[in-house]
Amino acid sequence: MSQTITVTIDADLEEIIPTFLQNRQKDIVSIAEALTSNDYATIESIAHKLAGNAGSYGLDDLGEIGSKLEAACQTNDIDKIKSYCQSYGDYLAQLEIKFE
Amino acid sequence: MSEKTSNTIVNLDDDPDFNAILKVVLKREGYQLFSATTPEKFAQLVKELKPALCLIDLNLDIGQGAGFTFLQAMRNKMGLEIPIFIVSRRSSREDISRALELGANDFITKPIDDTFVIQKVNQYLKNPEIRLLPYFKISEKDWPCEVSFDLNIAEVSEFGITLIGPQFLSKGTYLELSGTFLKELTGKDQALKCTIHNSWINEENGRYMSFFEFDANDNSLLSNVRSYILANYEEAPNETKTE
Amino acid sequence: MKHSGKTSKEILVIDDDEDTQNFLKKILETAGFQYGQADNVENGVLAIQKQAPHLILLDYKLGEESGFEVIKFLKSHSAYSRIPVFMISATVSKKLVISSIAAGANEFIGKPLKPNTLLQRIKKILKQHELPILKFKENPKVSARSIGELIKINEMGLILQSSIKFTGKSSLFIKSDFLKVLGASPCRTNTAAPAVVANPGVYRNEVLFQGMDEKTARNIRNIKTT
Repeated sequence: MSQTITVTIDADLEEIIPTFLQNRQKDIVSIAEALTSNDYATIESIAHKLAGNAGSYGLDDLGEIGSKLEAACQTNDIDKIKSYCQSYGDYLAQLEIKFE
Repeated sequence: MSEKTSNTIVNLDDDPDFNAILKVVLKREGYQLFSATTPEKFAQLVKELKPALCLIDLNLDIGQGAGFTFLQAMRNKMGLEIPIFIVSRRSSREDISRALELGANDFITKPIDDTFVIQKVNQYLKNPEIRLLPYFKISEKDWPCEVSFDLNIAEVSEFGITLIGPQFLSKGTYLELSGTFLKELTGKDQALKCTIHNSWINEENGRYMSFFEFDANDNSLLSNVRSYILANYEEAPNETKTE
Repeated sequence: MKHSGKTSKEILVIDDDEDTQNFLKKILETAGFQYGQADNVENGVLAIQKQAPHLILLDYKLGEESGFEVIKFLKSHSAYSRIPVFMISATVSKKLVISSIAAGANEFIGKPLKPNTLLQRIKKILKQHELPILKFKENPKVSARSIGELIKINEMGLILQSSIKFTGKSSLFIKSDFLKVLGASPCRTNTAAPAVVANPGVYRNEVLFQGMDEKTARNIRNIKTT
């Protein structure tokens, strides 16, 4: 029984949110592959982009996860990397968006 | 033999000093000026003397801008034949445009320039012979025609073009423009279709200027124009960048 | 010269990130801007040359390439050096900001981009960078074609009615079906007398034929008019 995370976003962005979320799902798949091969460079790149974009789409907390994941990759902290990757996936699963 | 006396001019101006100097200027060229300081006197003089030309001051005593109403009334009364000049200290583009559209043939600003005034008067009063041959009326169905002539470009902005020339192009005039310069500016071979947005007289040189806008939806035209402006703009030596 | 303000400003976004492009396209088009995009240096340079945008939003990192390459292109061409550039980047360091401005960017904006601040900065920079008006030492010539009406005719000339008041000595070429029948289309004419006002905005000009041949003159003389 996971909690939902409700975020209210400006209605102007309603049209472009679906594509954004689809791309984020692709991120999750890429991260899963990268983890199996210990490819932390790829994860860092994904996190870097997430940190740079999520805020624009009104998802500041998600952007925060991106920043932390990026920082973890830069310090090669494997535990933290795995933890934040998990947070990323969980966040998306729990995310519910309201537009206004 | 025309019933108009070809060297008689009547003007309406409430300033006797101006009337005195105008009389002297016109007399040099062989014109006789009769001045009226009131609209009533002006109408009377016009009726009696049947002048070849009239000058009306826009700033009449009876109220600022009353000259426009008077101009319209005079034009209606006197018919289309007689040339009317507007003389005025007011010379905004709107004033001049309006005067020309309401029926004035030309516009002179005060203080007057002797040579300029004489030039304009001569243009209207020194061609009597043409009227001698009668014209045949053409039936309305045969009226439509196409007229081609040259114009010059005074300015180009990213929004539109300012034309300059001896022609006054009324607001709404439809034109198709072409030429090597335009081809380079627009990047297109086809003629540029435009409608005149507004027209006015350039105070410095007395020539007519007109402005039209580019089609706001024609993005390739607009970008070509911008590219051209960027590529050809030269800063004047002492000009500072607008920042 | 006052214009109606209908033309929209064009903004070119050079960024290889799809999410950034989607976001900016939405924000900028909603705000009434014309949106152009490119995803690398080469396409960016091509787009600049084709579109002549009013403003460029440039990402510092374009795949393997650097956004500085685009700035270098802009600054090395006097025409394009006038176009303002915002450097945008997810990486924000003092060093990067300084080097961007030093290279010629007008502003540096860190990601994530926030719509309101971004739009404000865009509006401000566009106001400061209005495209100049081109004036000419020698006014370029242009051939103009308009429509009019031929009201009267004789062997010497025509009375032409149109929304144009021809003054001075203007040379006009006139074409019409009516003249064609007479063998006089197109004909070259000169304005002979000052224009007369037929109605507000409608003028009648007397124009004289130039170089009319005898045969055509006879045709005109023989017209049966109503």
